[in-house]
Amino acid sequence: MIDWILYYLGLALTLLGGIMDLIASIGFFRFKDFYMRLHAATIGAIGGGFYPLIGLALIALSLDLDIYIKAYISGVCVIAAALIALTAPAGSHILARATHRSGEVVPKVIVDRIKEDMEKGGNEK
Amino acid sequence: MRSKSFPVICLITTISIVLILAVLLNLSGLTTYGVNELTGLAKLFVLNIPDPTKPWSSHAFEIVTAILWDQRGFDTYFETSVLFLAIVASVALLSSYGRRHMPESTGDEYTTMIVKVITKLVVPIIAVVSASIAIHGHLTPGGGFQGGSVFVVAPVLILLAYGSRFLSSRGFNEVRLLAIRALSVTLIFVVGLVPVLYFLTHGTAYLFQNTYKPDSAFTYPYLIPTPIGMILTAGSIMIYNILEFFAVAAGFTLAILLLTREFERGGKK
Repeated sequence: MIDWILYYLGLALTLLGGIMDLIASIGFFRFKDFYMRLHAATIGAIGGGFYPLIGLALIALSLDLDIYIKAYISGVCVIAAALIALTAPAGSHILARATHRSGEVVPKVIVDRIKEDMEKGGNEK
Repeated sequence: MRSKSFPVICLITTISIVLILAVLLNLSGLTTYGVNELTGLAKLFVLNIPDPTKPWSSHAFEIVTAILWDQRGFDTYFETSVLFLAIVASVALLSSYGRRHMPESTGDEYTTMIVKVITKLVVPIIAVVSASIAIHGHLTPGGGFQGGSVFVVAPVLILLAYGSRFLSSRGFNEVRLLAIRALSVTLIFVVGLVPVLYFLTHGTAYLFQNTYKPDSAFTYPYLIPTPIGMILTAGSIMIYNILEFFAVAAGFTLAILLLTREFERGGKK
């Protein structure tokens, strides 16, 4: 019973990851701005990388195998998922910040609070 | 160039490639090259190196690393020396001796708290993974050079997040890194020279020899008994891997430290 629940939960998470990847790739094509495209790429990293790995860990736990093999496969999946969840947001954050501060891409926004702060002389942290 | 139909064409191409690959996998398994049959040279290596009953065995499961450090160890030593000379050249070009002292950066003007915290979490994981790649080099894919290259990611992250002062204030200066590098390369050659000393005093042995050969009794200990069981060290391959790990890690860290300082100086003399 618990095996079936784990198996179908894992399948659902993997399918969700595939849908997220499709959305991210369409957004990467259709968005015009650098910042919007970065947003789409982050959807691909978290939704398309984190969820399928958690799903694979659950599927591996539900299989009819030796406990050592199951624990090995799902442990590797969980560690990889944790690393992606830690590093991908930090990477896209520092990428967007560096791009904004270097002035390479001017964001098309109505209000730009960071720019106002920098013009006032404060070094935004 | 970019029309409205471009994404549609891309999507159709991707889906058709996936479908064709799926059909091919189902029908033939994509193995039309006969990859299950080895060539003569590959058969020689695969059947001889991991098999401890054969006279030309290296007692190592990872055949690529065994070939690199046993069958062609002298060649690999000179590859390491070439890398050493490249590091020495970069030190000669970028060293800060004789220049006006510049204040080193703490990285505050480049990064934020988010990046610093994530770097603090990820750097120990990278160090442990790189050490395991190097130490298990004779059992699993990897080796000294690969482990050292993975290790260099950790100093790069620290230099980007904390600036060069963080490493300099913890003893990672040019002189020490270059000393580690030179000492490791020298020790690799000394380990390779030990069979020659055996040849001068006892009997036949070859330069960079690992385990016994049909006409030579010299061997490094490849199976060491310990209280918890036998440990397979594959002779000198494990020693070479660890030394090469230190050499590559120190050398690349030095090169990247110097380049980062030059970047922080901003092109000023």
